[in-house]
Amino acid sequence: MKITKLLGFMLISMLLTFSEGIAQYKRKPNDLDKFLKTQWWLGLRLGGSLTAAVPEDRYSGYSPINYPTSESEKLYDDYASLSGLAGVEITFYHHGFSFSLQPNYRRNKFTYTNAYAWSETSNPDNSLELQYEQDHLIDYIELPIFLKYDLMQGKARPFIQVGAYYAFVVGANKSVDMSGTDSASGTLGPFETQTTTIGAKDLFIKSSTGIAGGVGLSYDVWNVRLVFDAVYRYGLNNVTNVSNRFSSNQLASIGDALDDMKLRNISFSIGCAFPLRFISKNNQSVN
Amino acid sequence: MNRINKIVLGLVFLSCLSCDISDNEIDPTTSFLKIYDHNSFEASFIPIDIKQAATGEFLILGARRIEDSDFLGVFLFKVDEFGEFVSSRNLSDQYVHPVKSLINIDEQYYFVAMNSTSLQATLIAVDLGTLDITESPIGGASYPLHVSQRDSEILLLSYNNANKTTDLSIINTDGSVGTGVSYSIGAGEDVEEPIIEHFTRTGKQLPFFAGVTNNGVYYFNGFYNYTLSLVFTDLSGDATGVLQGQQDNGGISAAQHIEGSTFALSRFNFGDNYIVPRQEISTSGLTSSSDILGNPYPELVDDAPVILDQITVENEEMLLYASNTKTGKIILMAYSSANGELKGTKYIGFSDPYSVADFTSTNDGGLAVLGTIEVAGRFARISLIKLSKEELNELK
Repeated sequence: MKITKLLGFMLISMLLTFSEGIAQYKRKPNDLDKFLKTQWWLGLRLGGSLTAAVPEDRYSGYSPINYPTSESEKLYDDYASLSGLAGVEITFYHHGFSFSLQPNYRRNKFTYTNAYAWSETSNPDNSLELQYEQDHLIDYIELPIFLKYDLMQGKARPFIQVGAYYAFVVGANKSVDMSGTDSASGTLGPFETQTTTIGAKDLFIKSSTGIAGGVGLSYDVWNVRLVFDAVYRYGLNNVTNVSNRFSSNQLASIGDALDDMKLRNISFSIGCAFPLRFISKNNQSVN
Repeated sequence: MNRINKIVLGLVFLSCLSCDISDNEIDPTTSFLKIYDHNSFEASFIPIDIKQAATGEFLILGARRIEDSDFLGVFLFKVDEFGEFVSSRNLSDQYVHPVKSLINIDEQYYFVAMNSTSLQATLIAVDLGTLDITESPIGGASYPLHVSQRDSEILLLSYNNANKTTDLSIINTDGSVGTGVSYSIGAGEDVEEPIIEHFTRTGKQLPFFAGVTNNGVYYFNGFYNYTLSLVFTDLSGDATGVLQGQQDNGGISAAQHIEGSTFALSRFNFGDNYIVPRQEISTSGLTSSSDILGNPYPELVDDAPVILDQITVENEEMLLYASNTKTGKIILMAYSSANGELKGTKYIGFSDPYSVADFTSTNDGGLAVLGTIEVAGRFARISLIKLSKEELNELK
């Protein structure tokens, strides 16, 4: 719901802000406009991304004897950590529609926490509370393809886009921070331990696929097109490598086990694209 | 190559890469690691043995600390085929000192504990469904040390405090005693001290065990003539052969008969540990364990407990050793039964320390390793690590 509101707000803002484009759209077409109806663009883009991991079947290394399993269940912190993306864009534009291939290197970061507590039966004030915060970084090279539609013509062109992607893992790691309160050792003060980081590439399958949609705005400055966009990715497959859930996870020995999960991601990027066809002074196309 | 071919090639490449999506499925019973946590400081769990039932459930026998007793109490623990906790039962404090191993005769489970008052060994039958028990006192046997089985024959190793003897008996499922022999541990009060300290856990935990070879030679590892020794007998009189240790400072820590007079062994000697995957032993003479060389394993804890069994991995007989490292991990070492060659090792554990209690082959061809983990470095909890058949094959 939060994502839908965000995307809706961006779309409305763009429509209002660039209403000037409507006037440009209505003017009489000239040779330049005719030329611009078909174009190839090549560009670079940089941005940030926020990720959520949506658990489906849940797993844990802990099987409690005398308290509900839900007490030690993972709590996911959605869209909480900003990470980066960088890529290129190859776009073919024709009559307001574009096919855009946007290969990129994208980092997905998500976090969950587990909490455990123990106490002395005869004196419950003697207790130990532990919290494991586990951060995951998965680096993907992504091959998305989008169908874009420019809502308006002119220098400023708000657009919408839908597409699909295939991505493959190039690296992953996870780290765990343990903190807690140990009232059994004579202090109420919290404690923390050093962060432990392990390689986690084997914990995820190589492939990730999904569908994507977003909004954006392109703005022409001389021969350069600046592009701002926001994209929401909806992962369709479980990214956890179920075969290695316990066997290749060193942190399994402290009770960690990845859930079956699908990724959701919101990315924001800014890019600049250059036309690959030019027009000469006598209105001739130059590739 | 024309453009269409390039596109087709690209699509084929992508579809190959994404094969892992459709292949990303596994039966969750094949591989897991479970920690059975209790949220009380006082909860105490010392796992001893594990067996998997034909239904896939695991039955775990363990000991627990009890107040006002020098001995450990008994608990039974059941988990399902996914490793999830199902039920547990703390037995009455009248039953203490459960000993390895769990016996399975036609899906009826038995173990041996001791009556806390009479110190008599008691055979206890367990209903796997309800964990209800039925006891059968074992006539004349006290201080049980180990129980094992060959087919439907139950072999009990025990200590007779009155006569100062190590007793080896064949018992029946109703607790009656069949054939048995007794061997003196030696004269004097001091001789039994390590045995009593073993029972009260105030001293070293000693590797008592008993078994029978394929050719019908019975053996036990127990006190014999002042020394922890591996003793061979035909259950009809004097010992036929003795492999002597060094009082309680050295001796055999695990043994598995391979063929003829060849055994797989591990031994300890004043803290050091040695793995001996194939060793000819004279079952009819007097020899010394310190004369057996073996592979030194300095990474194991001092006088390490060793679990040893022969298992089948991909149709090949392997000797699997499990023990505890100084870094708080469980180590599995697989040796070829045929030539004693080390085939592979595997470590279990990362930050919180682990120690091994037992392992057992599972119905699906994998392995279940039972151990203890010190959760948060301080709470001893039972852990169960299930290795799939494929993971086990990596040891080969």
